Amino acid sequence: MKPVRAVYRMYMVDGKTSFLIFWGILLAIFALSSGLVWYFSGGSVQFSGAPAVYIFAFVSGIVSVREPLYFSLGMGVRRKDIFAGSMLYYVSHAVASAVLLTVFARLELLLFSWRQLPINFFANQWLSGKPVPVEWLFHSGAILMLLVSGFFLASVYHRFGAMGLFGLTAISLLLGALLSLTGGFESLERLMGGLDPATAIAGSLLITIVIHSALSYLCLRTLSVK
Amino acid sequence: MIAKVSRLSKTFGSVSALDQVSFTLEENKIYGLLGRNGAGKTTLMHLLTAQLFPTSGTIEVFGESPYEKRRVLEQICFVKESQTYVRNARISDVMDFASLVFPRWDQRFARELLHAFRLPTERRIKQLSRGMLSAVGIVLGLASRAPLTIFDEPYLGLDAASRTLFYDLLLADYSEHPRTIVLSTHLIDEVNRLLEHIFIIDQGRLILDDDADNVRGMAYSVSGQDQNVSSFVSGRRVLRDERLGSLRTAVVMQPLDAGSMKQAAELGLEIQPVSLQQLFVCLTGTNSTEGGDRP
Repeated sequence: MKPVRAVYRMYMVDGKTSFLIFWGILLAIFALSSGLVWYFSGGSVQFSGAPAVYIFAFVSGIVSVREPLYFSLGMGVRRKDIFAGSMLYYVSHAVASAVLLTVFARLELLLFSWRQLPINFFANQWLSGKPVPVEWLFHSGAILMLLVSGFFLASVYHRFGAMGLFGLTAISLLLGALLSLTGGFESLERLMGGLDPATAIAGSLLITIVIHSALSYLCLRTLSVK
Repeated sequence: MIAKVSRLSKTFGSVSALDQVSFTLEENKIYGLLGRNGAGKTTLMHLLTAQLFPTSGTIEVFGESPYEKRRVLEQICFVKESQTYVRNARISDVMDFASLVFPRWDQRFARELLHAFRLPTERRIKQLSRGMLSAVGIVLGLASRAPLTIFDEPYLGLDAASRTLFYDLLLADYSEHPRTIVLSTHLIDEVNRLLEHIFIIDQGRLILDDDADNVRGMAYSVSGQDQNVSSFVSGRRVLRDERLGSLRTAVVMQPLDAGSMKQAAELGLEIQPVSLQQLFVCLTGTNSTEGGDRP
């Protein structure tokens, strides 16, 4: 599994800086917001850290691919190993981001409930009542899903070019229209309504991750150098 | 046999990059792959390393198709001028990557090469000059000790001293660790002494596939009075023909034999050997004529 490790390490080398810069900025915003709320009592900070982490994950999924992908391909690594290395990196990224999100959310609850400050930067009301592992698992799944979705878009682009993205948009619109006309959305809603929320969310995340990973793999299998 | 390519073609839309190319690569030989810009050299090397897919034809490397075969791919190191690197990575990261990908990687030799090319291992790829980036590629290619090592214009931006260092290191390491090396270059006269076998590719077609020694004696130039040169080249294949007043110089594609030398002496003509670069220019520059008389 040495080539997989090589690809994974190259992703880490490339992604480490942007990951640290992003978290640095996020924590600086958090500190600044908290300071302002504490200084000018009466204000509040609402849930904005987690969406920022989610958006960062999606963008990372898109932009992190290019250099490690073509470098590895050029060095004679199998496409299968490049895919495995990429997935390994996304899982680590998701786990690390989710750990940070969960830890800061819990710290925030501890510190700011003590000071009675209305700050919910990392924490959100719905997840705060759940056990820590559930909160971490939720963030991990959501971040992984966004990373893999970004990776899927990047794979389509690298395999088929801009036309591939237009094609993908067209197919998505067509599927949406078909589902709408045949009452597919209502059936889906009924199916989800019958499940408990945790199962429905976990199921949706898992299905999206599996589908996007499989499609990304198919794109990579036939990828050529530019 | 290291590689066998049969009737290989590759088209990009309506453009034919390679057309029915066939050749074999033998073990422990240094090959020169020569061709003008856009001749199809890089496409051919991308196909050999499964980074592109052929339109038709077959490629066997180490006995099987290279596509997604780790056993095959880990034995090939392809260093190209247009290689994408991870710009945030340090040179040491690239070397670590290579040590995991190439089973015969020699870390000690890599360190020696980095020192010889004066490459700072902790510098990031994005901070390197064009020449330093080429040197990184050369270090990868040499230290990989891959049984099939392919260099595609590996010394873009390298100064003459570094290029000479590369040739010397290549020869020294090749004699200690023989392997198959394919060298694609435009600096033909510089690499002439290294090459054992030569491929010339032009407009996607393989127009020459022969041992370097045969190629070096394949053509000669003959110069003298126009009328005498015309008489000499009659019936011979002329690759290049130049006239200056009443003087004429023709490059003849034929091994020089005793009969020809005698005939040239009788006609008062001067015969000169043709360098590999001159031969390459003749073969890929203009159309040759049979019999010497051009329209």
